[in-house]
Amino acid sequence: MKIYFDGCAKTGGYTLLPDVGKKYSKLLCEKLGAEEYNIAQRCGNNRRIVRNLLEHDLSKFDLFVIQMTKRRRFEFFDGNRWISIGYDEGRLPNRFTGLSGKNMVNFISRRDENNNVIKHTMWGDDIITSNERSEFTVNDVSEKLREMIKYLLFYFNNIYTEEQGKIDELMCYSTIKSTLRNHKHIIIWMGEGDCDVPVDLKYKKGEKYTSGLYFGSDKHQMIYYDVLEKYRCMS
Amino acid sequence: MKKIYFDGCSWTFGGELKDPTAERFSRLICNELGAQEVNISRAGGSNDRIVRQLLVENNIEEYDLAIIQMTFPARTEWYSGVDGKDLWKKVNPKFNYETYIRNQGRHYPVIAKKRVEKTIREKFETHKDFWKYWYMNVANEVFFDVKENIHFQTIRDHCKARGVPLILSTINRWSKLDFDFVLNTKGLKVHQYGHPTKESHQKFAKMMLDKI
Repeated sequence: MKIYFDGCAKTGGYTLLPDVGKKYSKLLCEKLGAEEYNIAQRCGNNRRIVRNLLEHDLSKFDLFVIQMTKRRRFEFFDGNRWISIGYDEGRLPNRFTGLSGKNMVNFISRRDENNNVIKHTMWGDDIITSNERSEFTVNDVSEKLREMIKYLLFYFNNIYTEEQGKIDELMCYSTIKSTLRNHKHIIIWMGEGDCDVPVDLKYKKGEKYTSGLYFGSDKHQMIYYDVLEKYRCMS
Repeated sequence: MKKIYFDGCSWTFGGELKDPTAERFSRLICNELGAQEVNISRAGGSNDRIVRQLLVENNIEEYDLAIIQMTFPARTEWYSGVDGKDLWKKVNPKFNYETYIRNQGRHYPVIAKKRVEKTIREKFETHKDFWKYWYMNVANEVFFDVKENIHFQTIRDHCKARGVPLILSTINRWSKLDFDFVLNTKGLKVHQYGHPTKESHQKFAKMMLDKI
């Protein structure tokens, strides 16, 4: 038996916790005596999930566990590889703003060439970058990257809307469902905000978990039990 | 055959025809089959729009047949929030962009690239700089091919899952996908702005009727 997993960091097992134990995909595969094929990635997005399904020979897998994610994320091809883009709120340290109190701003998340997720925002004309270890730098980006960050922030502020996100989410869900219609599959959603498609399992930030970056063994156990239960019902 | 769903861009709408609603292929097919024509195509329409209309705005199960014409994948749309026909704003770079993107890296002259950039800026009413940046720096052939494939699968599978027969065509002559028809073949009779003539619509109708 071989199980296909795709999704974002949570299915990929990425966490800032020192020891997360076994991620839910591993637990499920151990329980079912299956081989794990897990291509989930940090900053993963629904378009990427669909693209991956279209690029794989599905007959090689006995079960698909697909974790849909935040609908505003997308990806583009930079000529060499696919770059995932996210957009999230985060705290900007006071030393950059000169303001007191918590300064919450929106960051562009970008999975870079080393598979690290780097975050950028703009404060005035400055580009503030936060690396994997939440270390901040100012204007330490190329002109090309500066321009891209500027336009991506513009996109999320002026063009992207939840209406568009809903359509995209529905399109991706429909394509996932119909692509897998002859295969056993379980579709999960994890994220903040809303999910308007009838997935099998929903894990909303703030309800079932607090932070994706601190997704611990208890959360993986919870998902493992839920997925196993769904699988048993299906079988 | 009672009711047929048609969607696409200006090619399905009947762009440049003297009397589009009477001469376009959707009308000719419905006349032949004695069916009700529901043609929701729009000039400059995108594949994003076609998918939205199919998944959200309409119930395809009410139809006996769907005839959908996909368009150039570079086109898109965005939600303006302004009620009326511009609620979803179309984003449609000129045809020279399609030629440019398909020839990128293959000796495309700098001067021609500049012309493409200029037409993109001129074409859009709002967010001109963003769209110029998007089309010249972010989007590319691979991006469009994948996007077109996702739209193609979505349309095909949505109709199949609901048991509605589908004829799926395109005007994207660069497409690598297995469409029933590629409409803008070499030698097709077209008007000044590249839309099919009355005779070409008759040809499309015959091709599709043969398929039905």
